[in-house]
Amino acid sequence: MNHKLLAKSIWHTLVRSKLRSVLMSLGIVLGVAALVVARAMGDGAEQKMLDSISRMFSASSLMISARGMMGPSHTGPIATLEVVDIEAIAAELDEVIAWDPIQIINAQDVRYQGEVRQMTVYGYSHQAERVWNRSVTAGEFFSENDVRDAARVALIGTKAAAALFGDEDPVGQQIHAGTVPLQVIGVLEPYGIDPHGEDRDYEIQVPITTLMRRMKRVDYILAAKLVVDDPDQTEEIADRITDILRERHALVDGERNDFAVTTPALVRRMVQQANRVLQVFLPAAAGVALLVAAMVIANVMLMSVRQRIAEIGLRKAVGASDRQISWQFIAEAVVVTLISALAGLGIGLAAITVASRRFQIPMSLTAETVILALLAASFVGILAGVLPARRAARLDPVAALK
Amino acid sequence: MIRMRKICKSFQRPDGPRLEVLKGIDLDIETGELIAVVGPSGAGKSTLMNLLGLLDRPDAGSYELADTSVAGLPSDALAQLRNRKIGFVFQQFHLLPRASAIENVELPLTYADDVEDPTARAMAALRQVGLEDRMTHYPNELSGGQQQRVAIARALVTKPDLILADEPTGNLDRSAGEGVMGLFRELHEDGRTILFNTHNPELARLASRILHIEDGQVTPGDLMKSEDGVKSGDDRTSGDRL
Repeated sequence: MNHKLLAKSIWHTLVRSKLRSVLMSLGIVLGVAALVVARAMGDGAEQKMLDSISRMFSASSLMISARGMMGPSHTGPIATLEVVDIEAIAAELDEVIAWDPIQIINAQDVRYQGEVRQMTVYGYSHQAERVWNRSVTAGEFFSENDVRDAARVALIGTKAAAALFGDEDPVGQQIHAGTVPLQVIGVLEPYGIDPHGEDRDYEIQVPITTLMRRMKRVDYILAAKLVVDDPDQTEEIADRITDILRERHALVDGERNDFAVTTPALVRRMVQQANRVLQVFLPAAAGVALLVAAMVIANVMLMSVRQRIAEIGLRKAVGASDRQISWQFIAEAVVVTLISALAGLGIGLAAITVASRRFQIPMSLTAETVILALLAASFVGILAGVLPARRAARLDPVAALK
Repeated sequence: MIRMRKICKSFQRPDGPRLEVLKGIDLDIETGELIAVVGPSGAGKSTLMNLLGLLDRPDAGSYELADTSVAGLPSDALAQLRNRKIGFVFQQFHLLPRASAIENVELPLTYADDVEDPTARAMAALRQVGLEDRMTHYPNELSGGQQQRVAIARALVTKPDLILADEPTGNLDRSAGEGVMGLFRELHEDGRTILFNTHNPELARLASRILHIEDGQVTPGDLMKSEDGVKSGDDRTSGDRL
């Protein structure tokens, strides 16, 4: 068997029956383009979420948050998680290399001279600069002394500064959060929107001690972020934190945790869950489109077998075996689908480029997607080619040549 | 080179009993013969061709092609034998309409092993039929006679032991038909073995032997040299186009 000649002949068949080839390829081109765009959208959305989370929550981070024990109806904060809990964990676990507690006041009136704005006040420790990986662009971060002394100092986000101060330099100015006077000592690095949807440039930050003692007057914290030395051990460390906290909070067996430990793996799972529609259902819809395309190809090819009875008979007469006839038709289908898949990839890529450049839709085309598209197309080609190929192979050459 | 003994073939008619087409054909063909198969329509000439060409299997009897007994060979082996040993020429030419002359001639080489340069082989075959200047023409750009010459080149390209031509001039006008027959005579003089069906007594007379088939059997009296003339039974071929 001379494969080069057969390949040439298959190519000529496809090129010289353009209308038929175009009919066969349309469904695949569109199906693959849809598949590629759908996958790129899913991957892009997930990547964007992961990027935005990883800024806050790197692979070696753990978050301990206070959590209600009474289910969704419980509205108030849980008052059981304290700084001493976190201190105890950090003392017991050598892997914890840094930690920072958090407390928050929502919708606090913040005043500067005549201007009043409602914004969120975050209480952090001096470790926050390192633990949250967010520094100041002007002035300086609060110090260990500021935290120990519950100093009346504040850092201000760029948008909050613009709202209160306009063009004036906020550093060194005095503002009031409620009735508490605070001196602005720094301007926070711009951040944007966090994964909770909060604009983190429209806020002020104060030492957590200041917030707890002078403003909110509570002795519990909302959460704490821990940084550990080995990203591969976060799950194990989370288990040990759970044990320590259950013991410290004197929870008996069967009693639910009054806290939650969030690990990077858990965050990734949550992101994937949130993206399931984009990740699974859209590509599945594109897959259905490809199956329909397979049926179109199978139909066009069955018609073509009927048109090419004489050719098939002749090929058999000059020595083609049934299997070789069969291969020829399957190969025709696969060549059409693979070329169409490449065209579909091209169109998909163009659509992705336009969508991400022009309309800023997050999209990412991965090698996996390209391989998936090509595999799906080959599968569709074989699937579509099998039935026509069988029919062609079974033709009786005597009848075919009449 | 060919030895057929007691070959029988019947077909199931859609409404009625089986139709016995060949009733015990005995046939020997030597290398280098140019044989005309004549006989009335429905006598079994085409069926005999299909059996000789391994396109169909006999119900009974033995068939040896170039010392190979073909009875019971699997269809893949038959396909291979067709490719190596047999070249077909058909009344309707059966050229691929979307392939050029040379591509049509190359077609059998697709299914042959170890052909070094198929294009060169196809060109040589086209030269043999005098169409080397029509290589890139498509069938619809060629006359009927030229198309049949391309088909003959296609039959020659594998250098087969036997060329089978089923009414090769049936669709050609007189001069084109004579051209094809002239080509067969040339090939015959080169030592090729050729067997063709015809209704035309004049063409049959050009053969080295005439094989008369009637009612599914070889009529013994017709196993004779054509140079001695064709028997009076040829008035049955009045339906000829020539």
